[in-house]
Amino acid sequence: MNLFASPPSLYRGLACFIGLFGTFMANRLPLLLGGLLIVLVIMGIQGKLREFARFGLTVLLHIGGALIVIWGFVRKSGPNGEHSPEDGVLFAVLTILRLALLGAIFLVTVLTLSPDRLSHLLHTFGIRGWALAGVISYLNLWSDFRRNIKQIYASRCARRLMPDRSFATRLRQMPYTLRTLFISSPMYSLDRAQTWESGGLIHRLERLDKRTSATEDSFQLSGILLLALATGWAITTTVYFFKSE
Amino acid sequence: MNIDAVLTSHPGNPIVLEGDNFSGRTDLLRRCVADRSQQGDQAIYLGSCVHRYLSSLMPSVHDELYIHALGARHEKSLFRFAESFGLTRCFSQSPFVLSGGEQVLLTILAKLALEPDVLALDGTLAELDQVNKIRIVQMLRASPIAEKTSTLLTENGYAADRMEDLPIRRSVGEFVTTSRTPPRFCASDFCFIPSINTGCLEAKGIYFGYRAGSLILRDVCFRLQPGCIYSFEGGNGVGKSTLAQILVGALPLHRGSISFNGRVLNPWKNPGQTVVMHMQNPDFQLFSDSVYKELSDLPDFSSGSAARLAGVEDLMTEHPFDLPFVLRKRLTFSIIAHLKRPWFIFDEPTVGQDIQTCDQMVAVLRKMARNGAGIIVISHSQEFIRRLETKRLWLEDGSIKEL
Repeated sequence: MNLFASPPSLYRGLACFIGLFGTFMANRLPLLLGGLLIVLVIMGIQGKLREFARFGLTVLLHIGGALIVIWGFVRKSGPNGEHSPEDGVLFAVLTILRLALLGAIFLVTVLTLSPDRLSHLLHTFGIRGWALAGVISYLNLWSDFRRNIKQIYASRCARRLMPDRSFATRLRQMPYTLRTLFISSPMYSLDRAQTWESGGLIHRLERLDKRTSATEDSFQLSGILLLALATGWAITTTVYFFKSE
Repeated sequence: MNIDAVLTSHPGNPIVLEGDNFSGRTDLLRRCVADRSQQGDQAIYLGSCVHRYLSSLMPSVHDELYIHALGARHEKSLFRFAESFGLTRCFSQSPFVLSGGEQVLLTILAKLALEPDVLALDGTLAELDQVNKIRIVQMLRASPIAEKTSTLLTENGYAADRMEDLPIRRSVGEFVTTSRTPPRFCASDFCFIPSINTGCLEAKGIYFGYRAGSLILRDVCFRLQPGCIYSFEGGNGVGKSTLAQILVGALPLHRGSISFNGRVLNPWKNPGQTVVMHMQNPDFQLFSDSVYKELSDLPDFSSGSAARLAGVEDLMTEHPFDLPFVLRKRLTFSIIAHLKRPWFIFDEPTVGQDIQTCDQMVAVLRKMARNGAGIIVISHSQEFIRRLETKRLWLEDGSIKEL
């Protein structure tokens, strides 16, 4: 059996919850760095490093930069009244590492699941019917938004409403992009939700779960390993959390 | 007369509902679907712009089809049909990045997989090329996949484009009566202001692919003269709209060059400078909260020509998204036709429009060409192309040739 083969959905779900809990408890820089390193290794095995790098560049980098400027150079203190810029920077770095770790854990455990196994995972946790379709749909929302924004830029170009691609011009498109997104996207979501119901798609999702559960009981070992790592992480961070209290 | 009675009297045969725009066809189809759903039947409505009917639950074309076909009696046949429609080559892609025609094929197959009792296709087939349209109709008529399903569909535009394979035709007037006066698309006093710059649009060695290693356009070359109407033709998914978007500057040019009057352009850097485009889906091209605001930026807004052309003079305070699809499409057509640019592209302008409107569109485009504008039309309506007397450019296997 391949140790690194995809762990079963249930183990992934539990590991996700425990791992996220552990991350919330982690309050020391070496702990967070160590945790992130382990998750990055798993991510490398899964071949998802490039996706995480994209997340880091588009989201974490900007938030991180802003946090360091605000806490380190504007406020020049930590949140608990420590009066030095270093404390402010440390707090910003801890926050950004936590965010990175939360994203990485979610990617490794849940977002790498194929749709059928994701459906199985949600089903295992009692999410069924409409709620199941809703959650799966929400997980696809970001890519839907990204596509819509590209489409709106293209359409504004086609009407000569975006005469160049400078940063200032792109910034000026923002209100139109948001307005159209918030009107047409919910309109489409409603249409889609209606087709789930009228076409019996929700029953098909339930069937998907049954088919997946029938084929998914191998690779237990990798699941146990993932769960053990998450549990170890949560215990360590909890111990350190209470020690520092 | 009750539409249900007609459905039960012609089992297994698709029924075409005939009628002009605003004759009540869409309402009739929607009501039929709602009534049948209330009775406990499975009834599905599909309109134009089918991307809104994709489930958005699945990340790839294969998974979209798979989830719909799960447990269906004819699961394997559905995948065979998908293969025959050429959908297998895009199985790993997101359903949302397919071309309009490919999305129609995928959506119809997916919905048939759910084995509905009633399937209502409201202008859905308009974006299909002739070959795929015939195949879909044959599938609806004779394939075991659709044997349980009663299909209702509407066809717009010219009679010559209609399906001979669909002999059962009923008039919407048999089922509904409408008293309201429909808004008219009126070309009679369309006031076109030509651009000062006119000139040849030339493309040399255009290459483009959405993914690395997979080119959709290969060495596309053409030289188009102003004052002429051209049509980009070809099957679904060959890259007609992609090429149009490159010319506009909505997509980057990977290799090759575009020039206007001998001067090399960079449309990606300055989009819409030389070429503007009416896109398939009007919803992405409307940005204001009233029809008035939508039109107010046009160069000749005060003349009211744009509002009259679209037939929206009495709807100026309405939100564009409150207008029916047919009017949203006319509105974006009118906006583009009133821009002062040397080149215009109209991508499927006739979708959802009745014969009178198609005739008026022909008149508008001819007037623009007579005044020196260069026009490119992308349409699967052969009759529309014939009436425009276009110079035809055929796109196949990534390259373009004159017919």
